[in-house]
Amino acid sequence: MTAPPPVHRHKAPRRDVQTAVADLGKRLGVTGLVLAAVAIGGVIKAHELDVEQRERPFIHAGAIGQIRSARTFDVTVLGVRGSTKLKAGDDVYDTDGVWVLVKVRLMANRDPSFVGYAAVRDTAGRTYRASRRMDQPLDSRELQPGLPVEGEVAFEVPRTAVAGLAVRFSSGSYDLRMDAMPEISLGIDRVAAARWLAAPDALTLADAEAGPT
Amino acid sequence: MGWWRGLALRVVDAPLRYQIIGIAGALVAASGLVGGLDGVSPPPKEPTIEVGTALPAGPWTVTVTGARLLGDSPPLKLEHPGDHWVVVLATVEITADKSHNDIADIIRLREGTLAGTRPDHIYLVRDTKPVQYLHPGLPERVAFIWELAAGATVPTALEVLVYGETWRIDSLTDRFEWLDLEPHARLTVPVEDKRT
Repeated sequence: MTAPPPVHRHKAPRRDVQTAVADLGKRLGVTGLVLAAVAIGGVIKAHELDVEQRERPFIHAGAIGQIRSARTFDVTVLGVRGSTKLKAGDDVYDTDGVWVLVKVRLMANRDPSFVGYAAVRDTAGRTYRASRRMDQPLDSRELQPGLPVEGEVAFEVPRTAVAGLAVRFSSGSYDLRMDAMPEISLGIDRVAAARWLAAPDALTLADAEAGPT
Repeated sequence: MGWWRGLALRVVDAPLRYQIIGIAGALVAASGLVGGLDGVSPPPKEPTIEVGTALPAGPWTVTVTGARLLGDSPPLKLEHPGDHWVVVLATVEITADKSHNDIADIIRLREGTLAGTRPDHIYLVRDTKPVQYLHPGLPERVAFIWELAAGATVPTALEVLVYGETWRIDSLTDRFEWLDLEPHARLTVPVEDKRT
């Protein structure tokens, strides 16, 4: 009969102070790296663009007289005027706001094109589509390359929104995401807005006509 | 009559729980004869408002101001001579930050042959021209118009639903949009008969 093997107890040798400090440093370092990664992720997430910002139109800002591209056609704002009454065809249209008439020159770039979207934007960020109360001369007008067309677009806006308006155009009518979009400041100040409000006569919406080539 | 007596004796001799089940079944059957088993429509979740109350309903605020019954009324053209026009008048203000062209969605009738149908016409009261767009901050009186068949019952009041939408993220596009068109209020509008 043989004796059972003796029981051996294994115990790690006591670490010296230097090793313990080094291990603690490693653990703190790893913890720090994890926290830093989480913090950086949070910062990135906080500054990430939302869908509205990521897919916003590419705005080409400009002023009256400057040519700006709407991708398939170019736009030049030639002038702006306003009143509280508008004559189009045989009808006179009144409004509780103001009629803003923007005269533009449009020309297709390479292929025939249409204006799908025309709107004015006020300083509060509200947008007002071109009025559909009457037939607009440039609506559904096919633009041809090299043949500029001039005409007016009528917008109906609240009286308080007139000063500071800018006009936007696009070839798309519904989906305006990530498309080139001119935004041309109309240069309307409060004095001009007040003058338009006091104007008693109806403005006649100008027909579309060929522009200078 | 022997079978009656036999049946009565079997019922009397039946265990108590069978008697209770039988009585309960008989009560349910009896209640069914007087409509006890008929389905009950859930109460409307939209509140009832009064004529002239401004109702914020998402992208627009709507104030229903009245209703009319009209005969032939140019420039409207009746599809069938002898029909009538049913008109709901409302002031609509776009409170969203963009022009809206879904004005036809705002008003529906609740009862009658026109219930739930889109208006045949939507006109701006100020110039009797069709409405396509309404713009932010420019309230307008709008006429929502349906053609009522000549033989249909002429209403003295209309049950009107005012619809609205909710500004939320569209799960398809991940963008905020006005969605979930649904009734936001109901009201009863007296009809003024203006056919003569």
